[in-house]
Amino acid sequence: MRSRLAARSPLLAVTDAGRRFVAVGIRGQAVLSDDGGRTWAQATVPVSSDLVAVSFPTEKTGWAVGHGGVVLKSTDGGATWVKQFDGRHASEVAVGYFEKRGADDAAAQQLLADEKSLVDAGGTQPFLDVYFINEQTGFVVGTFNRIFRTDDGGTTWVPWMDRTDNPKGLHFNAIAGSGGNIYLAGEQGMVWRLGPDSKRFVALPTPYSGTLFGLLPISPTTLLTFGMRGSVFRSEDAGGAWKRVEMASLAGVTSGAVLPDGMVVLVTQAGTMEVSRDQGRKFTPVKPAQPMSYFGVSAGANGQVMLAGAEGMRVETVR
Amino acid sequence: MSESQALQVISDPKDFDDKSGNIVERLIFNHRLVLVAICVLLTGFFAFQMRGLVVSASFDKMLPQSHPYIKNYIENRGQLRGLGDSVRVVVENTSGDIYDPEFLATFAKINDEILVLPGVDRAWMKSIFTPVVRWIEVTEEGFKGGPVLPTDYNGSVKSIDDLRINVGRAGVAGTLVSNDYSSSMIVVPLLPVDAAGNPLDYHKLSAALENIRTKYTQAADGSQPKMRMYIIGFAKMAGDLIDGLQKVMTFFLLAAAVAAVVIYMFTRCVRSTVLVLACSLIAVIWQLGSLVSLGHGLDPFSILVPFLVFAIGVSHGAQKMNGIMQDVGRGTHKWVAARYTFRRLFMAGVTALLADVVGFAVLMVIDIPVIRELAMTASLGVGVLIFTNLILLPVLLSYVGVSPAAAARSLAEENDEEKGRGIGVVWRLLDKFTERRWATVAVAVSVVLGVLGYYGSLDLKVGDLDAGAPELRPDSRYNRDNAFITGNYRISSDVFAVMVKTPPDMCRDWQNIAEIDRLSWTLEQVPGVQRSTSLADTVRSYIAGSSEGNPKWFTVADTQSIVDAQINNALAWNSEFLNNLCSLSPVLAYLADHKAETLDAVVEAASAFAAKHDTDERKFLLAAGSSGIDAATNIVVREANRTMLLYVYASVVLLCAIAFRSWRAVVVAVLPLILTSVLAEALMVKLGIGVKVATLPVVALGVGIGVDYALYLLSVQLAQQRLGYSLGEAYRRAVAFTGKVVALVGVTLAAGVVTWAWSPIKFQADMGILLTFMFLWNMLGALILIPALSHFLLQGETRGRVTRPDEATLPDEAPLRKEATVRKEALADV
Repeated sequence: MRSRLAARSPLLAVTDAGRRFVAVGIRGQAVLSDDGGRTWAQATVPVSSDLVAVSFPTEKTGWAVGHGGVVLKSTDGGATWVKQFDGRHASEVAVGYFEKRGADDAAAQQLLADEKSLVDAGGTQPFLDVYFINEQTGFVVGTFNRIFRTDDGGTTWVPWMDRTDNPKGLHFNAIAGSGGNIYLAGEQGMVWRLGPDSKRFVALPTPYSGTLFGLLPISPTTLLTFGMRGSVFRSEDAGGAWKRVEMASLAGVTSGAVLPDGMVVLVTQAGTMEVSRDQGRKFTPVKPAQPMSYFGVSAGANGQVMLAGAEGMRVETVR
Repeated sequence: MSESQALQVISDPKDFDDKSGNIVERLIFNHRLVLVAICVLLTGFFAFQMRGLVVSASFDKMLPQSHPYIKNYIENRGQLRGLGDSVRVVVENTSGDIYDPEFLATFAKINDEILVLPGVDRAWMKSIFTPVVRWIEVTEEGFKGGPVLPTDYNGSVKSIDDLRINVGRAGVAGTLVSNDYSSSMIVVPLLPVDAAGNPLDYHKLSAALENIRTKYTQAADGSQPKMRMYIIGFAKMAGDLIDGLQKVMTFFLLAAAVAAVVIYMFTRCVRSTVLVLACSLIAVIWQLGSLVSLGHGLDPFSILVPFLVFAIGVSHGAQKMNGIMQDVGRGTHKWVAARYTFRRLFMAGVTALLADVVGFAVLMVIDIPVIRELAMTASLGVGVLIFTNLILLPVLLSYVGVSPAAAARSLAEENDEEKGRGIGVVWRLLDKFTERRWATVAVAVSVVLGVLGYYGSLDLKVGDLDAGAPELRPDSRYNRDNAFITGNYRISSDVFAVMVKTPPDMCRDWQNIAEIDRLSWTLEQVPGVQRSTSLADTVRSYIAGSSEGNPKWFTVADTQSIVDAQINNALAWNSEFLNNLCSLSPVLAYLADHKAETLDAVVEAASAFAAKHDTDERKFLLAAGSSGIDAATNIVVREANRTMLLYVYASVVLLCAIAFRSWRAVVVAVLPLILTSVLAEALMVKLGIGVKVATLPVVALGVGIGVDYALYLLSVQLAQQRLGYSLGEAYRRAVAFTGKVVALVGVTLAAGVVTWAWSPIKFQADMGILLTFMFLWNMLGALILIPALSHFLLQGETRGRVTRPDEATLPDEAPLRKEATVRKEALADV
């Protein structure tokens, strides 16, 4: 739907596509800015589902995912989107895939039963995050251990539920890639890693028992993961060991970005921003000019950050 | 003509044939004592009845009852929790924030005192001090929560700190605590009826709140108060309105005093002044008494009627006296003079009053109870006037008579005027408008005014234009309170609600909630909508809340079991967005203002959405909320304004056509009225007054009463012309006979309503200003434009020559005729 409020209604995620910023949000809204966030244009989106994540491996090509299990693709830098995949289709693919594995594959049978019980519950399962390594290969992740991979730019999708160390069927809330590794973060303080030569996401639990909302790679081996109630954890060995980072506020940390000069920014639901100049060891609060509940952040030029949140897009300066 | 022959000067009643006159006259004047006795009894009865007179303001009566939006609203309002009747009380700490021990102690006292007021729905009263207000927090262990007021609260520093934390956790900043934490709100839901089934007394409640305000916010030593209280809500507004009405009652005395002065100046006779005022007052007593007997009371609109009845009564009474005075001056006995006057003026008076009735009756086409009641009350009042001022007044005059000095003076004055001395200069001036030069100028000026007025009136707006409660003045206490609260809290007083109706328990269906969300989003796109909220927002935030607060779950899930859990929570936590049956859910759009364009745009968007998305199981019903009602009222008012103008002018044209039997005369009579209507609309634009429930009746009243002037003047002028007098001469005679009365009527009517301009109630002030303008301008229009237009249109009405002057129908012809003859001779000599 065309809306005069697209850039002022809740937006869940923002990313850069070259010099352009693309943000997505509830009710199928997507906006883009070519002038560093001063003005935002509305994109053409074929669905009205709530979109929660966006990934652009190149300037032109990117994907967005959200509720209803929709996967949208754009090849014009986010201006127009087409639907490639949705929740119902994804369930059919998963059921077909595990049925084909045969009755003697116990693991496959369990995953088949899991997927069928989700279908029986009615409705669709959302995808909560998306990450594309390049224009061909990428992952979409979501609830109850669901994860799909494509190697043909989203035309076909392969279930990867059998390649995760996730016996409890926890939700995957985030996916990110760095230094050849791909990481997942989810419920109960869990992080998973897919190594460059590995065929499996291995569990790398943090000391935390709450839900993790996101991941932020800082260097090939250093990364942060963060979640509810001001919980931030840092690893210097690609997720092997995690250390809690103290935060000033108890607000849920929703997103983070690394600025070109290496400054790390984390944003919270309470409308606070915390910055670190030492690769995420220590954070200090920065007062936003116009706070709102923040859901997504992307690094801009000149110390600026693009912020997606409850009231749409805002630009703040952190330096 | 036998009648005119009978009107000879008779100084001794014995010489008068009491079988003369028509049956009505004989019935009245031959049984004067019986009539007076009946009137005394009736007056006593109605005065006694008046003790039961209530002044009230009813919200429902201001609604256009048969408009579908209002029907939908009335049908469902019992289920609309968030839009129910409530009062909001804000207590502000003027020297710090709310976390001040002294402030909190007083706030607690105020909270407790309001809680026990009659009519308060105690279980749902909300403030940081009531147990229903809770905080909820998502933790690693799940939901955690409790009342905002710590259970061990004792006013200590520690418990105030706990309170501060809870207020933060509850997220009530902007709702129960102001954005800057310097004030706190008590939301007081009201019960429509008490335990005994009596309707809530708004006036009492408002007064009780006012007492609390006085008690806690007045510093004893006159220094700057430490706290301020702000109170808004329909109950408070209604209370303020009723207070305002009582103040308006005192205006009545002022209007009476002004009328007394005007009449005394006119007659210079204490006796007749007292009589006229007394009869007009009796009319008001009868009218109010019969109103009570019929089970009605006065409301902010019908309170206009006693003023009008009084003013119309005074003006008709003055005419009676004018006649009697001249007869008495010529030596006629008072009893005979009273009969003569009755004989001459009864039919004319009844016709004029009927013209007023037409003006009132036309208001019946408007489907708004207050206006219908106004029309009913007014018809009643005018009906009463026929008895008190057309019958009782001459009878009383026949006993009391007039002061002989005043009578002689009246006659002398008239002769002076005939000669162009004294006030006669003015009448002479008016005569000139029958001449080509002056007539052309007058018509040209009117055309210019008309064109300017027309262009000015194009900007005329429907509805209310000021912020806050439009019923009260923008600078009233209530509206200042409202401005403070809307400025410091996230609430708007302009709410447009669409009611989404489903079968019982189906409001929880995720598809219905998705549609609700779509409607909410659609409304939010409309310019002038600041934001919109609905059950979908509640579901979104509850789903996110139950997903560890993850914003990615700020969604309406398409899995029914996920949604069900949230609807159960919403029901348990008494959400305003659904009813207990889960069959009704309002979508609320908060508007920037209640201007007509804003409302129209919202109505259009909501209607289009409803047309497209309605199914048998899911209906989108317009409209509730203050703005929903405003929108419906605007639609009805806009419609009514057109039909009413059409009807009022059609009936005036018809009345004039019957009276004058000449289309040219109808044009002469109606054009000045149209000019006044156009200028009145331009004046409304200039003064920022919109067409609304209060201003609608003004046009009808203005035109209905305004045509009186034309009826008086033109009927005499035409009669004279048809006797053969030239236009100039005929108009001169018409002015001589009725001009003074026309002026008097204009001034007394205006005096009756002009005091309203100072009413604390905005719409009454608007009515007063507009009516004053219409009464005065219609008077001027009649006196100036009728001769001017007659010059162009009615020259042809003069027939033949004056051959038989004895046949002149004017009752007090004799002296005039002599004057005229003398003057003609004088002219002939020149």
